[in-house]
Amino acid sequence: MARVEQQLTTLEYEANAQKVAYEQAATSLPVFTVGADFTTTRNELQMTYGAAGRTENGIERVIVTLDTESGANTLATLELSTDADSAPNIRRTVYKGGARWIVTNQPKVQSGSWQSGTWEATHYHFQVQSLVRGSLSVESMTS
Amino acid sequence: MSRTVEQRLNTLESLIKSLKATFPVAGSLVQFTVNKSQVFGVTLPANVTTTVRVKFTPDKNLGQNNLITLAAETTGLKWPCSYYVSPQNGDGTLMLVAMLPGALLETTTVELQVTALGTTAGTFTRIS
Repeated sequence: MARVEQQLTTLEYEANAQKVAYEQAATSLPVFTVGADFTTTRNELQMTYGAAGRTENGIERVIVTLDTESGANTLATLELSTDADSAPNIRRTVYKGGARWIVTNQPKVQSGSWQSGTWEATHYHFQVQSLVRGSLSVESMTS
Repeated sequence: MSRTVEQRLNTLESLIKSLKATFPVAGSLVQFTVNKSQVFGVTLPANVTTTVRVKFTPDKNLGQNNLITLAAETTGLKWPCSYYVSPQNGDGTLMLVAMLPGALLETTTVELQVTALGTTAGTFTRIS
């Protein structure tokens, strides 16, 4: 009899655990948060004017990638803060094994200057909310 | 008095039956809802870009980071805006930053509307 009761206790625990798990699943989704800081590098464009050439600032594109631990694709959102002078364009792109975005923005130039000549780095803080746990990596894309 | 084996078995059986009935619909109980904000009238001074911040406060304040996305749009393609969502700080709210370029030499007014897609409804407040 004691053995039957032990088995019952185990079953009760398991059923209760399932009930708790179910109720959590129905009311809230797991959200994993991961963040990364990034500083852009100059996207140099070599322009040729007649015999002379000069270097100009290309549009800066940053690739933000979330690689999930399980390698599964995930529902995720990208949030960011930046000291850029203009709002970036954010586009989610096709990626197998997580989620990927491309963030595009105008380069920063020193106040009073126009495109060529001066350049300043743009700083970003990226934060991703994802249904699946993963790690975040950020890299620059050059033309 | 402790419960008999029969009583515990009955409880267990009914619990398992109820779980069996609810499990197949658990996935559909997570509802994604779309919320449209009120229309914000934004006055754009000439020649500069105006920044507008709109805060989204979820009705069900989960007191943590949420899987909610915000998007902004202006009425009419003539005055487009670009926007991003600020990192959440864990109190359940989200902030959208929209940047709207003003016209040359002319003050204009545009209408801005924010959409939230996520697991809970909420309210929108213009911060700046």
